[in-house]
Formats: sequence, structure tokens, C-alpha cells
Amino acid sequence: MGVANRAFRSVWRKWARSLIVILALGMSIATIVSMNIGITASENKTTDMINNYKIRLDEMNKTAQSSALQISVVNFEGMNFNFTRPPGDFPGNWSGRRPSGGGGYPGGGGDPGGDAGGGFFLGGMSGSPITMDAVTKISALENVSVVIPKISKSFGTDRRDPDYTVNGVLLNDTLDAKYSLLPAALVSGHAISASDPNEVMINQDLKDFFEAGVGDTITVQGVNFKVAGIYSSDMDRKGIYMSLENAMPIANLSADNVTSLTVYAKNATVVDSVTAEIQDMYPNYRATSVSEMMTRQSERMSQMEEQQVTQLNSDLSDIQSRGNQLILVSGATAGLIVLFIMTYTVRERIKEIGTLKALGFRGYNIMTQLLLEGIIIGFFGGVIGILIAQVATPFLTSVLLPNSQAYATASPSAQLVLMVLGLTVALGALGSLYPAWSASRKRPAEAMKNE
Amino acid sequence: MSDVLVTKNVRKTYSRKGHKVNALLEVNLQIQKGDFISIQGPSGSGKTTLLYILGCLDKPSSGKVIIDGIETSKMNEGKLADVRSHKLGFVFQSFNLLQILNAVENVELPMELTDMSKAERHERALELLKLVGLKKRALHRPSELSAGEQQRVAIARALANKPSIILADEPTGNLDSKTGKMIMTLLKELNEKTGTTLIIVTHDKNIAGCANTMIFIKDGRITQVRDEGRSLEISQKLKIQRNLANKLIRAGYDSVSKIVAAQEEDFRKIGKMNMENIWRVMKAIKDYNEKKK
Repeated sequence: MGVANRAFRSVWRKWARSLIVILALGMSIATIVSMNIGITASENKTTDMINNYKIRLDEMNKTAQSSALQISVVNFEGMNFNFTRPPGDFPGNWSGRRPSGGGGYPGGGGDPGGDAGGGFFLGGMSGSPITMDAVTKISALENVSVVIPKISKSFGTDRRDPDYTVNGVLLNDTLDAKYSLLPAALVSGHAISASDPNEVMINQDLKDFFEAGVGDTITVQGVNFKVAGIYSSDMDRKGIYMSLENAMPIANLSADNVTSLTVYAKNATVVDSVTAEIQDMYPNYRATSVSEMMTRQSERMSQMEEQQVTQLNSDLSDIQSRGNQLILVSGATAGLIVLFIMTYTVRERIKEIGTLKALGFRGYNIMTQLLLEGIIIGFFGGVIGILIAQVATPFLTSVLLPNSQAYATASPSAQLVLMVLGLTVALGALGSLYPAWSASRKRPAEAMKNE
Repeated sequence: MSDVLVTKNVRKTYSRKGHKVNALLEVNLQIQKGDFISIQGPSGSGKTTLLYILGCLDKPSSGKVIIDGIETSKMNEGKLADVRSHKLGFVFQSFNLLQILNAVENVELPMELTDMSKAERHERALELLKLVGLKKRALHRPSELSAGEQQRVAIARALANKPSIILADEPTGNLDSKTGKMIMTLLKELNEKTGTTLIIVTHDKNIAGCANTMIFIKDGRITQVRDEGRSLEISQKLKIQRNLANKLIRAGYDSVSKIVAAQEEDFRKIGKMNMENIWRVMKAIKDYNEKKK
């Protein structure tokens, strides 16, 4: 029978009380573990979000660089003002346009355009169709390398967050290889091609919307298409790519009408002059250097992102501060629990302490046994706390760190477990230090007289 | 016979809220090896205080306590603990067994402070339990034992480290009369068999009467020391003194010098008197003779 055995038996003797104390300790420890996991999850989430912003910015900059030869051509005639402007300025004088009344499109016919049900969007803008005749004429310009028509129409009830955007493109492998007409980042499946024009590619964010994967059939505005491939792109999260011919009826366009053109100049030095030529040829159209547009967007996005990053860092700092405060309070509570119970234990067992001293046990023997009892309680409190944290971390982080975007589901790492057990052992020792010392200094006669 | 425990002018004073309380005053004792001593007195007389000082559970305010030739009154707590573990054994009114340990573990407990191996401790503990008639109950916890059985375990525990002295504070206080007698019989047998000096504190005259020497204490002072039922009070009747004196003279101790030169063992053969008693008788006789002149 050694001191450790006696210590363990002493704790076990009042097992109900010890259990209650261990559970109370466990709750404090569970809070410490959960806060640790919650803070780490918030830090990781914040880092991911900041990295995502940077990635998007980089993508935009790359797009700006890679689109140095591109000129975007849209037809803003007949534009409707009944929608919400996107934040910031958009290149072009679209804000000065007025509804033209009925059918004011170049080439005639077509929709008045404007509202979400009958119009089409271009990055939040509403415009009129462009005829294929314009494609031919612009292609004939001296400094134009190629003109690529495109259809783009968004569908949904919220202009700012449509359900999906149909993108109709020319299915031409040669053009695609040179000008990246289709999204490059395929997640699964394959790109659509002219060999099977009834297939589509969807962004991976639309998998849940359509509840479909590669090989499944989706219905877009009443028309069935087979999903050939799934791509990922932060710039184009709601995109469905299909052939130009299939997109025309879906976009409610008559044959040979498209919603925009992408013109490639022969070299970077002639981009401005080609832009001006197109604008002169078609005054109702809006020709804009994509590079210039993307650069301005990139600058705006950069400013927004700086604000976002500052806000994220500030939020994270709040979460860390709050989490650390809770860790400190929980740690102090755990220490006080041990202190209280050990003080009570010493008072209760004062006669036993006197007996041990009468038998010849010294003060340090008594102190060692009581410290061990505190350590045992602390250790098991730690074990219970870790087990509680395994289950309760998502709940605790959601309640105690409500500003955290990361509802932590992770289990404590081996390192955290060891650290927490070390902490609880230390708290057990610390909490029982004073009662143990006090007991060791009791004079035997004084202790023996205690009833 | 050598003195196993001697006190010289021991005093114990407590300070309570500015007032001084004299628990013990000028206590002088000489206890020899193998003695069976009872300390009697009314409640608050200081008998338990005296027992605690004799047992090194408390320190005297002044005076000396000498155990086996070692003065303990000035020792620090650590050394006193060593004296308690190796030279003393205790039996308490409430038994004071550790509830978390069974009988044999309780008896083994003091032996943890020695160099004995675990097996040796266990073996000796079982022997001691056999001595007190409880070997079959070795694995029972105190809560599973009767009061008498618990006290027997406590006695076995007190004998664990072969102490020179066993101190018992009201050992039968929590027992019925029949069990109390059994315990006293056991203690007396152990005293005679092992030669361990036994000092008992009690308020019960019947229990006290089991001892060979009875010390009476009142208001912190020793008022009487009675040896085998014969009173040797200083104010005792002259006839008894004269008879005792005659006995000494017939035995050949007809002078002070012969008395001083003699061993205490010799007086025991006469009438189990110790030196202190002899001196008192001699002084009383001397005073009587001077008055007579």
C-alpha cells in the first residue's frame, strides 16, 4: 500500500462527490478545448477567406492580362432602368440610356428587354441583341483577328443573385484552344464540343441546385440537356455552358442574334483604334477594351477586398480575444473547484491526518498524498472534459463564439489532448497545494482533538 | 530496571484570547521499561494533555521529556515523527483506523516508515493480527468489524514497529463493559508478554485498577502515585510509613547511602517500589523523627 494507492482510494471512497467534482471540472475543460478548437477553426476560415480573395484577385488580374487583345461589344439600345445597379461604376455610359419604347433594336424585333422575366443580363446590365451581320462586318476590319459571338442570359427572381446564367458559345475546338471559350478548370466529366451540341457544362455550385452530376439530365427553361462536365470557377459561379444554337431560344432570341461579341485585335497597340472603329460603325453598341474593364474591376475588387480583409482580421481578433478570455475564466474556475474540494476534504479528514502524524508520518508525506489526490481529480476531469468536447464543441463554439463563421466540428488533436491533460494535472496540483500545505503543518495534538 | 520515559518539571500552558491556561504544572515522572501505568483524573484535569506530551504529539511549554535516554522536548517536528514511528505506539478511544484500508493494511501502515519489504510488512501484520485474535478478519474493512475488533486492530497497529511504549487514550471509552474488559485483558497480556511499557489514560477506576501503577492528576498536577493498590501519599498515616521503613531496614537498607547505592530492581523484590517512592518515605520518616525530637 503506497501513497499513490492511498490517494486513489481516498478519492474513490467518496465516489459520488468525486464524480460531481470531476464532471464540473470536465465542463470547464470542455470549454477550454472547444474554445481552442473554435479559435483555430476561425483562424483557418479567415485565412481561407483571405486566400480566396487573393486567388480571385489574381484570377482577375490574369484575366485582365490575358484579355489584353479583347474588346467587348454589347448593344445597350432599348435598355430598361427597372433593376438594381451593381455596386460601383460600370464602364460605358449605360446610365444615360433611356427606354426606347417599342422595338428599338438594331436589326429590328426582339424584346423591349429590361426585367428579369423577359430581358437578359450582362454582369447585371440589360441590353438588346446583336445580329450576326455585325459579326461579319466587324470581322472584316483590318486590325481584327477574330470575332466570337456569345449569348449570356441569367434566370431567377433576384437580379443580384440569379439562379443560373446560360452562356451560349461557339463550339469550335480550334477557337476554344486559342481563346478559351469554355471554362478550363474541369472538376469532372469532359468539355462540350460540336460533336454533341445537346450537352452542357455546369459550375460545381449548381450541382445542388439541379441535383445532378455528370451524365444526368437537367432541364433549363423547359429544355432537357445532358451534363457532360462540371467545372469550377469563382468568377462564374452560376454558369451553364451550351452551344450558341441551343442558347438562342432559351435566351428568347431569334436566330442569328447574340447578346455580345468578343473581338480580338491583332495586337495590343491597335486595341484602342479597333474599339473606336467599332463604336463608329455601331454608335448604339458599346465597345469596351476588356483589359481596361477588367483592370478597373480589379482595382475596385482590390479596394473591397482590403476592407473585407480588415473586417475579417478585426472579427478574428474579437473571436480570439473572447475565446482567450473564456479559456482563462474556465481555467481559473477549474483551479478553484479543486481548491474548494481539497480544502473541504482536508477539514473533513483532519483527524485522519492527525492519526497519520501520530503513527510517524511527516508533513511532506501528508502533503504528497493530498497533492496526488488533487492531481487524480484534475486528470480525470481532463479526460472527461476531452470526451465532452468531442461531442459538444459545435454547440459550445456556436453559443460562446457567436461571431465565428467556423462552427467547429474538428476533434481535438493529439497535441491538444496532451496539453489539456498536462494543464488539468497542473491545475489539480495547484488547486490542492494550499490545502495540502496547511494539512502538513497541523500539529498532531491539534488535529487529534478535532471532532 | 532502566527508565524508558522521564519527565522533569514539565509544564504546558495555553494562551486563549490573552488568558493563560495552565494545563500541566511541574510534572515529574519516571516510568520504567515494562511498567503498566494508568493516568486517572476528572475531565479537564490535563491527563490527555500529559499523554500527548509523553507521546510527542505535543511539546511542553517548559521542562524535559526524555524517551529512551533521548530528550525530545526540543526536537523539531520531523525528528518527533521519527520518535513516534519507532519508539511509540498509540491506541485511541475512537480507534482511528483508516477506513480506506482493510485490517491488515491498517496494521502495515506504520511499517511503511521502516526499511521492511512489502512481504515482510505483510507477514508481520498477519502475525500481529493473530496475536490479537483477528487473523481471519485480515481483509475486512473497519466498517465491517465490531468496535472491539476495531480496537484490537488498533492495538496490533500500535505494536507494528515494536515500540518501547504504547500510549492509550481511553482505549475502552467507546466499548461496552464486557468488550472493555477484554481489551484491558489483552493489553495487560501484551504488556507482560512483550515487556512493552503501557501508559493508559482513563477516567474509569475499574480500568485504571488494571494497571500496576496508578497516577492521579488534578488541575494539571500529579496528586498521587499509587503502586499496586497501596497508597504512598505524602500525608499518609505514619504507621504505614513506619511499616515500610521497617521493611526497608529488615531488608538491610538501614541508611540513605545504602538506598542510593541500591538498584531499583532490589526494591521491586521488596514491594515493587520505585526510587521516587523510597525517597518520599525516607523524607517522611526523617521529618517525623525531627519533629519527635
